[in-house]
Amino acid sequence: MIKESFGSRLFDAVNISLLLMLSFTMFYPFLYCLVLSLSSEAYASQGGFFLYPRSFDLTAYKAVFSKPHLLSGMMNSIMRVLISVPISVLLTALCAYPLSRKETPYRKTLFLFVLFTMLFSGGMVPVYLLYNNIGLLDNRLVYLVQGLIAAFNVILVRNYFQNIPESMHQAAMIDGASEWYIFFRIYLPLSKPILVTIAMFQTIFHWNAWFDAMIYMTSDKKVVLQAFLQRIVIQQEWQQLRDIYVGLPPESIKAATVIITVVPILFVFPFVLRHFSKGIMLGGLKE
Amino acid sequence: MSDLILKNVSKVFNNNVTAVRDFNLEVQSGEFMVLVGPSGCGKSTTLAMIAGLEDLTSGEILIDDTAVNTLPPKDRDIAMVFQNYALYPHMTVYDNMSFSLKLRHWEKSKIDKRVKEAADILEMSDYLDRYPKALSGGQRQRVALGRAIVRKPKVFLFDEPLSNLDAKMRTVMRLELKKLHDRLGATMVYVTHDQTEAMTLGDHICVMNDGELQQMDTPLEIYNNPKNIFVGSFIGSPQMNFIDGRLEANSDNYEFISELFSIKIKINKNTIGDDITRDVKAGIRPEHLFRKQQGENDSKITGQITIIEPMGSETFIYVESQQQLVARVKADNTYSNSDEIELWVDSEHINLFYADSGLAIFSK
Repeated sequence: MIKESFGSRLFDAVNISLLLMLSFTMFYPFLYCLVLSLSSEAYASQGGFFLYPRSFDLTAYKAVFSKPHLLSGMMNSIMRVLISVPISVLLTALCAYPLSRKETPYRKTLFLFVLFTMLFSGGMVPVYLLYNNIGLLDNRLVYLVQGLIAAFNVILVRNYFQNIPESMHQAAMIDGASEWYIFFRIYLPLSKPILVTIAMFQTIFHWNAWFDAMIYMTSDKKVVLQAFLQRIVIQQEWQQLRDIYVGLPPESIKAATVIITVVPILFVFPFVLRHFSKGIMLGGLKE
Repeated sequence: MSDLILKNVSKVFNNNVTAVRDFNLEVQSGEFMVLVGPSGCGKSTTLAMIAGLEDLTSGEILIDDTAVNTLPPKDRDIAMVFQNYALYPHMTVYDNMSFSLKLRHWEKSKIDKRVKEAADILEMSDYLDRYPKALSGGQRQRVALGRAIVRKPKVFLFDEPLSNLDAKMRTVMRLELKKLHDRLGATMVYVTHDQTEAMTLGDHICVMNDGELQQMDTPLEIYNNPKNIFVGSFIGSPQMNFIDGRLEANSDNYEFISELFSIKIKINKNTIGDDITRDVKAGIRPEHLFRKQQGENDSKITGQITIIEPMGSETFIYVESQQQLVARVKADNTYSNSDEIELWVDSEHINLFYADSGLAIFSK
C-alpha cells in the first residue's frame, strides 16, 4: 500500500471537512423546515436551532390542506409536469437532431439562431401581449409553452447526438431506415441518459415555476402549487389560516407549505440520478 | 454475384480538397477486391461513394450494368461492414441481424430462417439473445458480418473491419473472411491500410495514394512488379530498399552503377529504348539481400549493423552503408550491433525506377 504524505492527508481532511460543511448548509434548511412544520405550537414559537421535532404535531399540515385550491394547485403542477416534460423533451430532441447532422444545410447558422435565444429574450411585456393575442391568458396551455425548447437543452442533446458514431447512422441508412426511423429507433433509445437529464431539468423547471401562474392566470383553480406557496410565504396569506387555527405560528405554516411543495420532486430525483450524472457528462463533453 | 464498375469517379469536398481523382475500377462478379493505401488516400471515400454515403462529384458507378450513383444506399443492394462494427447496442444480436429484413417488411418466418442460417455460418447461434456489450470484439465483428450476409446483397463492402481487433483475433477473422468469401462467392470490396490483409485476402489489389489509383493487379504481381516507387515502398514489410544510381549500356546488357555497388542486369533493349541517361533508383526487397552469393552476377555490399529485429522465424537486419538498408535473413543469434556485414544483391530480383517520375522502368 502506498503511504500518503502528510500534505496529501491534510488536503483530504480539509477537503472532506469543507464538503461536509457545504452539505450541511444544503441539508439543514430542509431539515429545519421539516422539524418546524412537525413541532407543536409551543416549541415552534420558541424558535432557535432544531435538529429533531421536540413534539409531534400535524396542525400546520391540517391548516395548509384546509386552504382552498391547494389540491387543485397540486393537480395542476402534476399535470403540468406530466404533459409539458415529455413534449418538451421530444421537441428538444427533434430540434437537436438536424443540428447534429453534418448534411443539414446552414446548420451552423441555424444553431446561432438557437444560441441567440439563450442570450436574448423578447422581455416580459411583449410576451404577455403575445399570449394575450393568442388567447393564452388564464389558459392552462400557457404552462406548456413555457420553456418548451430551451437552447441549453438543445446544445446538450445535440452534443450527445454528435457523439453517436456516424457509422451507426450510415449502417441504418444502408439497412433501409428513413431519417424518422433512425431518429426514433436508433438515436432516441441510445440517448436515454441525456433525455432523462433534460427531462429532469424540465421537471424541476415546471415544478418550481410560479411566476407564470402569477402573471398569466387569473382563476385560482388554475394556479400551480408553487404559486400557492408564494401566496402563503410572500403574500402573507398565512394570516387567514391563523384566524382558523388560532395561535399557530406563521413559521410552522410556511414550513409545512414548503415541505408539501418540495417532497414530490424529491421522490423523482433518485429514480433518474443514475442517468442524470451520466447524461450531463456525455452531453457536455465532446469526445 | 454482380459486377461493380467505377468510371472516372472523382470526389471534391466543399473545402476544395480532392479526395478521389478520376478513379476507374472494375470488380468482376464474385471477386474479392482490396483497396489499400495510407491514411487519407481516398480509399474509404471511394467505398462510401459505392455505398451511397457520399455523393460523387463526377463519374459513374454501375452495379450489374445499372448506374446506382443517384440511388439512395438502401436501393443499391449493398451491405457494409464497418471498422467499429456499428452494431445497435440497444438491440440483441438477433435484432441487429434482422433489422434490415424487418425494414423491408419480410415475413417473420423468412427473417427467422435467414438469421439462423447466417448465425450458423458465423457460429453465433448461441449468442442470438445477447446484447453487443456482452460479446467480445471478434464476436461483435461476426454479428456485423451476419447483418451483412442475411440480406444476400449484390456487393459486400468492408471498411477496415479488422482494425479494432487485437493481432491474434485479426488473423482468425482474416481466415474467417476468406472462408466466407469462398462459401458465398460474393462480390466484395475491402478497404484496409494493412498490407498483410490486402495480400492474403484479395483476388486483386488496388493500391491508392493521394486519391489516385497507383496500380491494380494480383497481390503477387503488385509485390513483384510494382509500377512505381510508391507501390514498391507501400507493399512489403520491411519496405523495399531504394538505392540511387544510373544505368549504363554494355554490349549485350545493362549495368546499374551506384556508390554502393554495381550490378549487371538483363533488360530487353526494346523495353527501355534509348532513355538510359536519366538517374534511376534500384528497388531491392529485403529478402533479396543475401548473406552469401547466390548467382554469378550478384554484387556485394559491405556495411555495419545498426539495428537487429529478431522476429522468431527470421531476422531483420538494418545495415548502414552510405545509406540505410534492411535485409531479411535467417534467424540466428550470431549478429551483433556494430558488426561489419557483407550482403549480396540478387541480380535476378531488382526493380528499376526513374528517379524523377518514380515510375518503373521495366517489369521482370
